[in-house]
Amino acid sequence: MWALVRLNRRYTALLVALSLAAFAVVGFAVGGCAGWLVGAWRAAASGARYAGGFDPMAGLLGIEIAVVVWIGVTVVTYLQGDRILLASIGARPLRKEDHPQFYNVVEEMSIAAALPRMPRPYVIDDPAMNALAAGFSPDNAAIAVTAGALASLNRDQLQGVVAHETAHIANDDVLFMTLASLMTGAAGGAGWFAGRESGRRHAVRFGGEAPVFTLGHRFLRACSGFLALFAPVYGVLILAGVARRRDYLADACAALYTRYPEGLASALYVMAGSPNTLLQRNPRIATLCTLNPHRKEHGIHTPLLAASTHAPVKERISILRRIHNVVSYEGYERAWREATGASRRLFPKGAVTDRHAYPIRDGHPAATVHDVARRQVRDAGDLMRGMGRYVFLACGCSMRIKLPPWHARDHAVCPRCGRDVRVPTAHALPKASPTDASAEVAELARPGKLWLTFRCVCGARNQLSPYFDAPRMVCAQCGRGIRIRDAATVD
Amino acid sequence: MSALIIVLLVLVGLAVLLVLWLIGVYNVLIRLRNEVRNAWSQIDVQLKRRHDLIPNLVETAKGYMQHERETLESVTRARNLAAGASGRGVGEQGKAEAGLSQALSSFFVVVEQYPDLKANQNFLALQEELTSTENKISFARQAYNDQAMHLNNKIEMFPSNIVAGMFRFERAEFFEIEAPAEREVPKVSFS
Repeated sequence: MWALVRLNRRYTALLVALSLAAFAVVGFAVGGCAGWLVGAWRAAASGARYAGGFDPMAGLLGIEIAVVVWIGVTVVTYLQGDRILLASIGARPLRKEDHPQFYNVVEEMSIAAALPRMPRPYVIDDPAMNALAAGFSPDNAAIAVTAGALASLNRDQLQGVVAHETAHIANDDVLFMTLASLMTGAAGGAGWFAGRESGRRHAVRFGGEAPVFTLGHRFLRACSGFLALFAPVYGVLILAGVARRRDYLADACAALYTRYPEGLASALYVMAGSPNTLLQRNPRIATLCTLNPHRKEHGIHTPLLAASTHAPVKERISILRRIHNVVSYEGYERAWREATGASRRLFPKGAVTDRHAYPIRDGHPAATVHDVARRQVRDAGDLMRGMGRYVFLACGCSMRIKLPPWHARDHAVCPRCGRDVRVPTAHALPKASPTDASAEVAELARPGKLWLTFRCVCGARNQLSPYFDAPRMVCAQCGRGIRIRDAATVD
Repeated sequence: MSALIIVLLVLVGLAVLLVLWLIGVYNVLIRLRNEVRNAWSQIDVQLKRRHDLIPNLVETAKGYMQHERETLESVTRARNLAAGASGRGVGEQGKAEAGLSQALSSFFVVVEQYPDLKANQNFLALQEELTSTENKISFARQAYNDQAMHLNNKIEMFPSNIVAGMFRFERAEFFEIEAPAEREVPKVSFS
């Protein structure tokens, strides 16, 4: 058992206890003052002089209410906190066929870290380059990467970033970080920033629709202003200095999992060099991210605490690049001492019992070819468009037309050759009888046995592969039965 | 009389302690053996996946690489050998898989000369799957070898080796997949 992991558990318990205490204190103060005001108002109404001051009895009632709210927040947080957090930044769950490489990398790293279950992969609809992990335990966690990162990182770099996040999960960091973010009202951020969002410029955003907000999310959003009062509670813990060491440890683990420190180092280099690391939907999620989104050069106000939650990127890169020949925790610590000139220990004595040392492997043939890099950017865009229910049409001139879901017409004009292209849509069939619920309710005319993306009656995007040969299918979104008519024979 | 009873009680107590210790050690051995088996099944899944992917890969590459029949055949042969070796013990399977890894790496070197093949979507998807499967095998291998070492230590160390001998626990074989070429010192030539 790692001493640092135990420390994480202790800090988590401390966080929960402190937040309860803070709720109680605020409840007492608010209740007492309210009692005072009500008393004074009543006295004024009856014309008498009000003798009392701060009302401790009302304060006790305030504590009770605060504790009930706290229980509500804690239960909601525990039950669906990670999902709420991910929804608030516009993260969408990713299937293997959406982006096999990212999915594979997550699977590889969960094997390397010996996690009991693979973390759920998510992609964040954001041009910024960042990544985060969320969840409450190693067997129920999620790893989210932005579309911007998927567009620009090569396989080794992506593996490094995912390894860093996987390490946060394996070391039980996510428990503390997710809880802390939620407790300080970060999930409410989506609500807070929703108004500002419309005024912002979005370079690359393909969102078809807003993420679904559950009842729990609404509750946390309602409490978010109130929760923000407790940010100092969290700050105390961060100032205890665990956050930075957490990042260093995750870097050391990432080097060990991938056996390729250069992957993470160059990923950090690329990400830090990009002009944009801020998550646009919810900047308050800072503590969870790989890179600190609040940076001075962006001209954004840097919150006092956010600066201390992340180790300086330059230092992290130079440590990783000082590792030679073999990767091990000892080697990382040596590199850290070299890079920072410190003589103390990075990991407390006895904290790291793992004595494994692996030779550094060769890099994967990198996608440095211009052609490949461009394709990667396009693929990441298509991934987000696909999730945003765009319809992809192949025109006769080999142009690939991408229609947004709000394109309502049945036809589209190809921007290259001006040809009129029909949007394949399944049309609703008249029901045979009003009681007939199970039968097919839509029909699609299929022009031939090729790839075909079409829109269902409900607007969802479905795809048929050339090998699909059945006469009917079911819409992935609404579950409608769709009959497929071969249009090629009719023409 | 009472002294005899005390001696008897002590003896019975010692016997009970011995039996409890036996049960404890036996259960630890069983747990370790199951963990080794579980770790092995993780590798086995990935090895099977690799065997399944290769025929598709060869089929896709065939059209582009008419002049490389030999390379393709050697990949297919290595794949069939590896598939045939499955279930014949960890050591033998490791050897066959090492041969397959080597055949694949020389195949991917040859592929570099065929830009059309490298641009093929189907081929790229297969290459990604194979790369990922190789990574998964190497990461799972580490976990397996660690478990195997735990079991072997328990089987060989005193006093648990007595129990292991009584119940005929067998040492677990390590899974080594490094191709012989990887161990050789790389030859640098400036000619």
